[in-house]
Amino acid sequence: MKNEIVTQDNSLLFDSTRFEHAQRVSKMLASSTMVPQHFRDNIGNCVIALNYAHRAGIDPFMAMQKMYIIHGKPAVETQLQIALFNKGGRFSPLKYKIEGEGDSRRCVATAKDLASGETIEGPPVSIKMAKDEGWYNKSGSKWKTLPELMLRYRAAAFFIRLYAPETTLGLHTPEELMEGAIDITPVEQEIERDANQEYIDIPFEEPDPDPKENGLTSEEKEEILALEKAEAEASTPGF
Amino acid sequence: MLEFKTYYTGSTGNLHVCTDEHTRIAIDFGVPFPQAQKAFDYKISSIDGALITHAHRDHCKGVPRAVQSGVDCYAIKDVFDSLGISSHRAHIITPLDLFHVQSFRVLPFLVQHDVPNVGFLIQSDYGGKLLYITDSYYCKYRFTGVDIIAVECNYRKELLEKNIQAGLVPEVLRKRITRSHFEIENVKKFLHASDLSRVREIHLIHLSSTNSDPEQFKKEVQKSTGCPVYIK
Repeated sequence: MKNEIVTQDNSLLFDSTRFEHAQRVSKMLASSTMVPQHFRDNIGNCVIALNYAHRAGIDPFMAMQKMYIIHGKPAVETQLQIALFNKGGRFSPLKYKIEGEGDSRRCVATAKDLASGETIEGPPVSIKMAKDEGWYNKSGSKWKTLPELMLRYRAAAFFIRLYAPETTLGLHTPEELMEGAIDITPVEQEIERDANQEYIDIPFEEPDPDPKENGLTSEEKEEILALEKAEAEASTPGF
Repeated sequence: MLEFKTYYTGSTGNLHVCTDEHTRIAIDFGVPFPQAQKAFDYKISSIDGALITHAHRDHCKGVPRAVQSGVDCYAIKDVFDSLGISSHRAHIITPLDLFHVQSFRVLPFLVQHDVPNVGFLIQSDYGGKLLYITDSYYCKYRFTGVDIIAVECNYRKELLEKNIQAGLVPEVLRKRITRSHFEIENVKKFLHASDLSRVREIHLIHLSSTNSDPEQFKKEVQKSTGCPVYIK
């Protein structure tokens, strides 16, 4: 892949012959069970993936395995973004400087600019940052279980976005989109667009003429009452 | 008659109760169990179930002991997983799947927080409908025929900004608050988007201790909706 701004010349979408061919290939891919679910029976998604692969200079099938749709936005795995960066030819492959312990543990991605020989450092990413930004405690977050990997991935993503944005072709990583590390839409716009849209209500049902007791057997109820009584007595100060 | 009562609300803990002629349920159980026992006059068995919104501890802290004490708790899987609870009293619910707790029919629905979270629309077989939403920066849905609304009204944007400038609130919290809690202007828009013709009580809950002005919020929402507003 060459590190240059992508123009319409190397897009599949602006040449009718190439576009027709892309559609035919997409039709085949969309009927395959070996492509991820979000590409199956979806020729449009397949054309977009083909176009991305073409622009990035990678195999379409591989690109599709590494592309996701998060909150309605396409994302490309960090692993692939690093691979594209490493073979880009403008920088040496990314390396990582890790230091500190606990919340202070941090990672900086570095690479040598091959033209100038200068070593460039990306923004540091720390566990504290992950906690402050709310990434760490997100539901299903990998920061708790794979902190070392997440530090490196996020540091790499920051470096690439800052020094080689042409590598990402404008796409984010799934982690960035899921964790809200990148403000996809300003919050006001999101609320304006999505709030108060759809009426929902409780489906009509005939009321139960004999609502049941709460599922406790009489023994269970007595046991609980005795337990509560004992706890109440224990917590009442003696005089 | 359907009634709603707040015992505790806010980031230190949340505990509310909804009752009708037959059934009494807790909504959120985010205080230490002894505190909940005291709130219920040491009659935990008077509670027929507990509906839990999400896994943050200020909403589910008391659930493990409630389950041990025989209270049927209803929550999304995320909540029980985070608490490590597996019990026949731990009922996993799914958004938009109706379930029953005695005389209450309950419709959980997804709301917008920084972890999976649900609100509840609760219909009593004896009449009356309650809507409960907390920890959500907006709601996708609108509602009709509701008698009581309990909705988070966490902060005012201008107050939050002022507190950030004054150093009272860390700047890093701005994004977190604005993408996880209800701002008063958005609460008003939400209320107006729903049908308020039957509403007899609006309870504003989960007010921020630093970024809200309870009296002003009450006046504004009351004026804006024409409904009696309550803040604990």
